[in-house]
Amino acid sequence: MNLGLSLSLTSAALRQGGGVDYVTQYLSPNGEDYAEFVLTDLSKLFQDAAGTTPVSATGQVIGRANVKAVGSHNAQQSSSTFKPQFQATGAKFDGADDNLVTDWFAQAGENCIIAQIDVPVTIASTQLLAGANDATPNRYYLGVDPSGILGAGVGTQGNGIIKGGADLRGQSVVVCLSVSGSVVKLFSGETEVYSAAQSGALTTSIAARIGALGGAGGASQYWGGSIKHIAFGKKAITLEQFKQIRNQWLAAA
Amino acid sequence: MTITVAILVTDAAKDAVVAAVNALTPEYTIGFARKVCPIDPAPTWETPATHWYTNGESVPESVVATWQTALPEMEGVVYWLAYNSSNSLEWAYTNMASEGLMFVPDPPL
Repeated sequence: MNLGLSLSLTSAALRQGGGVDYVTQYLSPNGEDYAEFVLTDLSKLFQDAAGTTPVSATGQVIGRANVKAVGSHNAQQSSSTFKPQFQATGAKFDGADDNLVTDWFAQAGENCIIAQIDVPVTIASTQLLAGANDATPNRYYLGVDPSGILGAGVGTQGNGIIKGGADLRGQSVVVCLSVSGSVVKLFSGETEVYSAAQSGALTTSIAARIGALGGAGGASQYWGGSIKHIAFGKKAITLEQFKQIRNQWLAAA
Repeated sequence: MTITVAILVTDAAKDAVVAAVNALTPEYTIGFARKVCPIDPAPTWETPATHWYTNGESVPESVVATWQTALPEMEGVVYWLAYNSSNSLEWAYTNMASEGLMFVPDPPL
């Protein structure tokens, strides 16, 4: 009986990460800025961009998402037809024009995007779950190509170069882009699927969008799947750190 | 039941339609971000838009009723309704193809 109780407590502690929030631990160890959106948490979701009418039921639009932790970062959309729909799987984007505009900007040096997503079964052209490009373009994005391959844009290189891993179409996965300022890495599932030297700088002048690519002229490359959880940070993270965050997110799902 | 509404508008009518619809249903506004062109075997992201497309998933029934009255009166507008749509992007391709149209490709990444 004692053994059973001990195992039960250990299991619970592991599910909760021993009380440690790994996103905070790795993206903000000393209070650094980060933005984590839990798009299944009704307490942080609103139907309007101003944040006055809460999302309360499946099928309602998401016009604003506030960050999980204390802080002012948010993602908004004022046009109703551009708003994703709340589902049990998170925010469902239509792949046509849905997107949320964040107030998050990448920095020179370390950056990351971590996301828990449902990938569409069919993808006619590359769809991006988050990011921004400026006119140069200095790239900063994460998405999936028509073959279901995870890819990213960083600096001068697009997802034709920065890509790797298996076909993700139709799958629920946690993925990550980690940029150190000199090395770019992609993580998918429990695996590092890309690692190579960084070429060029990320845009620091265009706000990232969720569910599309932010650009000087508006959005493009719309996401046609769901996003359950997404975090933007100004830290490069390791595969081991990513796996701890991933396991914590999956345990909470 | 959810109602998905797709709206196609000519480039010339776009701004007037947005203003008119948003005045009618300020509780559910529309916008057009997707450029549309005649079906072309080799379109580029610079192909000019002749039309624009948007769709709203789970549009409230009261809004749909207002739009069904107003949209047919507006010049340059075609719209479609779907019930419990699960893949509005595929539906968009079908809708536009029925008009001889397609999305203008996104700018290169």
